[in-house]
Amino acid sequence: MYVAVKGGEKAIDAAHQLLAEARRGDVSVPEISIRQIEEQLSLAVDRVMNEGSLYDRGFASLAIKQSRGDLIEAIFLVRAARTTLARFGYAEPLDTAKMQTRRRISAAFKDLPGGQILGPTFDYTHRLLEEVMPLEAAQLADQLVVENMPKVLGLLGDEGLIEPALPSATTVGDITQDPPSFPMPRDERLQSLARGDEGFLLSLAYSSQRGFGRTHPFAGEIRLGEIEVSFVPEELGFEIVIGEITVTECEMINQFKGSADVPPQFTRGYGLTFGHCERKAMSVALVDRALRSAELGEEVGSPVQDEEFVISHSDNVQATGFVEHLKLPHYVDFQSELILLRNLRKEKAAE
Amino acid sequence: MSGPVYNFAYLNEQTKRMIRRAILKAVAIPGYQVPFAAREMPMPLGWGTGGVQVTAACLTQDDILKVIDQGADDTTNAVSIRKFFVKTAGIATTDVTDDATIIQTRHRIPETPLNENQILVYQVPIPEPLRFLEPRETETRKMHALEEYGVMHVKLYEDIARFGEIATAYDYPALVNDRYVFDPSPIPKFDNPKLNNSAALQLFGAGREKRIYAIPPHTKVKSLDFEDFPFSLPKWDKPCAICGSQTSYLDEIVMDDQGGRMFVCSDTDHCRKTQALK
Amino acid sequence: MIEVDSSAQNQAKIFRLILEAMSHPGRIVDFKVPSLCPPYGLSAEMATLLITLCDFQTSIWMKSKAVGIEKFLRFHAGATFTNTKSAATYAIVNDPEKLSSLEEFAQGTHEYPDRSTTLVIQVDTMSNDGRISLAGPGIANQTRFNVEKLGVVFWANVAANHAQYPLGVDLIFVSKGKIAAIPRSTQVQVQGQD
Repeated sequence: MYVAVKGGEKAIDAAHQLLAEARRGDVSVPEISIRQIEEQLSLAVDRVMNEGSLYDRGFASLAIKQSRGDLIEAIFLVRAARTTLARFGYAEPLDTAKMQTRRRISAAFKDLPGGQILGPTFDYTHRLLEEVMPLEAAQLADQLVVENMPKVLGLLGDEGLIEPALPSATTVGDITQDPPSFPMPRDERLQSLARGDEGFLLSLAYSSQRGFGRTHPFAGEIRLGEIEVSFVPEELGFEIVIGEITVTECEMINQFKGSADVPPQFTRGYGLTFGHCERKAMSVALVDRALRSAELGEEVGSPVQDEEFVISHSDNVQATGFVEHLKLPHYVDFQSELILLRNLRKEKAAE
Repeated sequence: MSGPVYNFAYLNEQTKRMIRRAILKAVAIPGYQVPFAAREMPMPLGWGTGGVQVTAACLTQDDILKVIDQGADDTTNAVSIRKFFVKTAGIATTDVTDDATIIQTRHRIPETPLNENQILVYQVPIPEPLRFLEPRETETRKMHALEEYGVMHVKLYEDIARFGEIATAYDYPALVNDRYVFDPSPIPKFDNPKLNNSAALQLFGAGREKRIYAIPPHTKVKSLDFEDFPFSLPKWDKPCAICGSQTSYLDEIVMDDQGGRMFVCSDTDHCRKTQALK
Repeated sequence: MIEVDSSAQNQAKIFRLILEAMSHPGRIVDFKVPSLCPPYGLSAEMATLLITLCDFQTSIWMKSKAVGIEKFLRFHAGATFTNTKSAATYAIVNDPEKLSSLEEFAQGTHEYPDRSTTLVIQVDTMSNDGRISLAGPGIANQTRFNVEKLGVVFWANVAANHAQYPLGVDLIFVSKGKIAAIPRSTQVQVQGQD
């Protein structure tokens, strides 16, 4: 006699135990600490903070450990934790010109006020696997930090060569508090891109470079550094500094545009990320500019220019959830398809 | 070491208020999809987070919660969601449909008729019934605004031309209160008649797609069809092999590799109840 | 561990009563509210309802703004106020008999009919009798609904509100210890004398 399958609860408990064992691996190997992750896998931490939309290195490091290094799973953990946090208000806008800059490059000018600062970068390293990479192997370089470094695009703006960067609205939207609707203003679009999947945005940016929605970009400026975050509490009524964060900013200079009334000017694409996420910041800037195609009167036809397509599919927490939900039981619906298909075949055979 | 401290039912109070406002609008406009700023929950998007958020916004300490997936209380995801609410809200749970005040479901409507003190919360993957005919939200929203559902009727009619009948076995679209075509979530069309004139309030939550919609009690819900091709229900040749029910939705169990099959109730509570009556 | 926050529990219970009223138009639901001392012009029922539903994302309209009420709701709900009816998420209506029309409140748009005002109306007594008959979603067959002092003009406005469904406003009535609702989906008819 058949007995309906039982024991979902036991199976889940057992699976969780197996997961705990798999997470730990060989117990004769020392356990990795959260501080080690924070210090030594810092770019993974940065990515998790970015796409998790929460600036907390400790949370992100813990999430990376708990997820066995599966960064999308770690991002998901951080997002779920974020849901429980009460909102106090909005910080004052960051002025990235005031950044304590550790890295700053421009591909548009050979030299410029403030100079080019390479900083901590993989660029120009030879990608050779090295078993020995302790600090002592390297000459401790002096970290150059420059304050109030002028913005490259500002230099062009003085001459009117680039469109001004104007706010798209008087009040800034918040995609975490209001459901998104299309068409989406640029401020909300940039927020969505900031938490979008790095791989997806990278591929979209790449597609625009290969001609599917070309924008003729120059890396006007990429800068990395620390910046203070300020907040005005209602009860105080004046600004207080609540902390310092690391950000990467990318400003692209793109194909110019002009009209009967306005002389031709370069246009902008913008990307800002938490931590050091240069590839992501560049991808965001390229995709941001491509998504402005309609606004700038360009022909729209490529995936990267399609706002609904890009924004609706850029969130990897949403994407992974829905793709992976196919693992859940679907046998009720499958049964109704079976009945239907058998019927249709019976009718066909009877014809 | 004590574990983390959660607000009652996980969500913070401001999030609950936002969801509650959306639910009230949804009830006032039956079948219309109200956008809401869904949050990430500690289970994956696409695994019932919309239903979980709706339930979390409705729950009081006095509620008795039942969670089913595929009609059964002991399917893995139902177990997981029930555990989540026990852990974060400390509420009582039950397997018995009659005893529950809130029932969260995926893919089924219980066989036992619901009463007016109950709320049925559906987990919804894709809330837009027109989505697979028109992928753009900007377009489908216009179609709903203009009550322009021709594209749906064309699709159903093409089915008839190709297969001789409407080839939609689940997720079968229906018209709510003579105004909005809506997606009943992927319940089998067998369950569609239960949507109509139910005594219970039915709430639908789509977390990933950020939509909430509702069917108030005693509301007309009509499955789409044509006069010459009326809506029809699937039939099984045999009754449930366990309880003998001839009126319930049956799952097909593969018994061996010789083509052996048996059919049993998908609604485990209904099956138990019918057995007890025998 | 679950944080025991009595206000979270209370608000959940209050919401369920509001939800019951909205799901069963015309049903007069017992509305027991916690004891609080709202300023003059704001009943305990009205105050409780607004504190349960409002926060920094909603804006409240009222006809003649009273500083006390505004201060109270700002403090307890963080709600903002507006002078423009069509910008209000919630409207406080203390003298519904003087309300000449419902059309100036936000009606929603055809794409987003939910972007509309909910009116919270203070009344003295409600009963399920009289000449006003309600039908539609949430009502098995039909029900009677009577509000003291509200006459033909008011009910004609409510009927006109329904006529533009799915656009329109939703109405919530509160009286001492009671709550009822008439969402835009409800058909309103004035029955003959007999």
